Amino acid sequence: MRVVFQLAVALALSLSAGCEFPRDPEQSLDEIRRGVLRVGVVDNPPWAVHGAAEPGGVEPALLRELAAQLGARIQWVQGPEQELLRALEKGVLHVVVGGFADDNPWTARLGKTRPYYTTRFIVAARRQAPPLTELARVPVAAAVGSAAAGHLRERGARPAPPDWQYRALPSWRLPDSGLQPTGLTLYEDRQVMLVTKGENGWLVTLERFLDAQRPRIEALLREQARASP
Amino acid sequence: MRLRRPHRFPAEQARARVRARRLEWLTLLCTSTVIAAMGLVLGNSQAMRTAWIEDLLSLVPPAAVLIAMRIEQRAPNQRFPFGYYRTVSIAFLTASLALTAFGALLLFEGGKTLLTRDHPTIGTMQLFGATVWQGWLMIAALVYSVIPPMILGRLKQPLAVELHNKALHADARMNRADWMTGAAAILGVLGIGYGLWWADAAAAIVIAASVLRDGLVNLNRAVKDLADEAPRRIETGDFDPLPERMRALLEELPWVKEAAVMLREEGHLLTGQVYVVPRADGDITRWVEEAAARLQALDWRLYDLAVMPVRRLD
Repeated sequence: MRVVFQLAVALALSLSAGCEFPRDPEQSLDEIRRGVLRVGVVDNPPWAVHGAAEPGGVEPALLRELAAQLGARIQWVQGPEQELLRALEKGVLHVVVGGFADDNPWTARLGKTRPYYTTRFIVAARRQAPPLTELARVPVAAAVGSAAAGHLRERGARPAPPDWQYRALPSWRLPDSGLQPTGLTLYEDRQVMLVTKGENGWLVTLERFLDAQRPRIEALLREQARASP
Repeated sequence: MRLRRPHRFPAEQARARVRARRLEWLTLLCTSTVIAAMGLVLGNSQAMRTAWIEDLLSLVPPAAVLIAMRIEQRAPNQRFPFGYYRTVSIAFLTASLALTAFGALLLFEGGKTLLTRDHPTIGTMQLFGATVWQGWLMIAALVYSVIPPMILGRLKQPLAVELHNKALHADARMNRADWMTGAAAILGVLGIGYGLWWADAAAAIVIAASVLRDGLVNLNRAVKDLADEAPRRIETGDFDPLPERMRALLEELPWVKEAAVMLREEGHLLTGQVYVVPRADGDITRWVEEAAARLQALDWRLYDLAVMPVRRLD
């Protein structure tokens, strides 16, 4: 009983003293606040785009804002996914971005944020195209070798040339595409950023920041797509 | 072919039995809500996962007790001339085997987590529009998980002794020990919050060790029961003095020269052989039947005793 009481007192004290809770076992957040946020960037437009000096894309833009809030400078590391994620696993980087989905195969070895945006891949149609209720034997355009193409094949759709009347695309592209939704959804990607396992203080800070950005994500995606189609 | 007469509980025990069944149903209900609440906030804490699996496992004993209590009352028949009284012992064995296996598995997992220096990741959750560290929600669920079993365990304990139901007794003891599991898991989650990644795995190991210990202790008792060990008192675990009292009663009878009693447990019942050496020939059949009736009056758990006149004891 005394132990429980002492723990409760210690907890109350540390919380009221303004200490961070939860804390990082490897002090990531302290490190970032003291100077440098190290970000790994995987090329995956429009989420993240490799650049000559600095990367572009939605996620690097978000992290620039977070770094400014925390008073940190960003050190960008643009590279291949496997290399960056191994570095992240060892704690050399603080975060890796590049349009990662919640169900990516690396998450057994890495931490990830709560999904902060859901990308819905849908089938859209030209205005005069007949309405669709199912995809079996219907030609639908999708980028060759894309996940959308795979989902289309699974649902029995046939490949079609890029300017076809039915096209698979993420729903945020719809306003700029001049197409109409058909009501058919192919799949959903729940977007996350990847972090080192167990750095919970940093993770909580990142998640709180991303929660606040949720309403802006779609506008940022469209802006990015218009800038570099 | 003669079958055993079905055993009837005395009125007092019959009432205790109704209460016990009610409590076991309540346990199933409460444990389900605990499992659901913990499942909703279950994060990457190994300690909490272990506590959660323990709660899942703690559905087994009440379920086993309820099933066994239903079956054991079936009357003996041609296929099962000795009745179904062993069902409780079998339920007890099953439940303890499950505990042992899972305890070992969880201990292994906890050790692996510690050895691989796996840092548990716990982020935030959205709760009514606010962003809350999930650890707080996990702690809240763990605090809730401790309360029902603590109360139910205390209520079941005296009924288990009254009914001499070992499966129920093991269940009650496990429930009473549950608060330690919850407390250990809370410490593990708090440890994660303080940046002590190992605290979680250490707490998980403590919980797993207690599950394994529960399992082994009960497995030991269950196996000994089924191997016809001499009866033991349920509260203390000491050998029951009843066989000695029976022998004393018999040897006070004028026609008995000496007597020996061998008892074993069959579920909550005590049955076995009684050997008596008469002083002289006479109306042996009537004497034996009278002696059996007097023995029977000693304890409600005595059932279907075979009283056998013999010339010598060895």
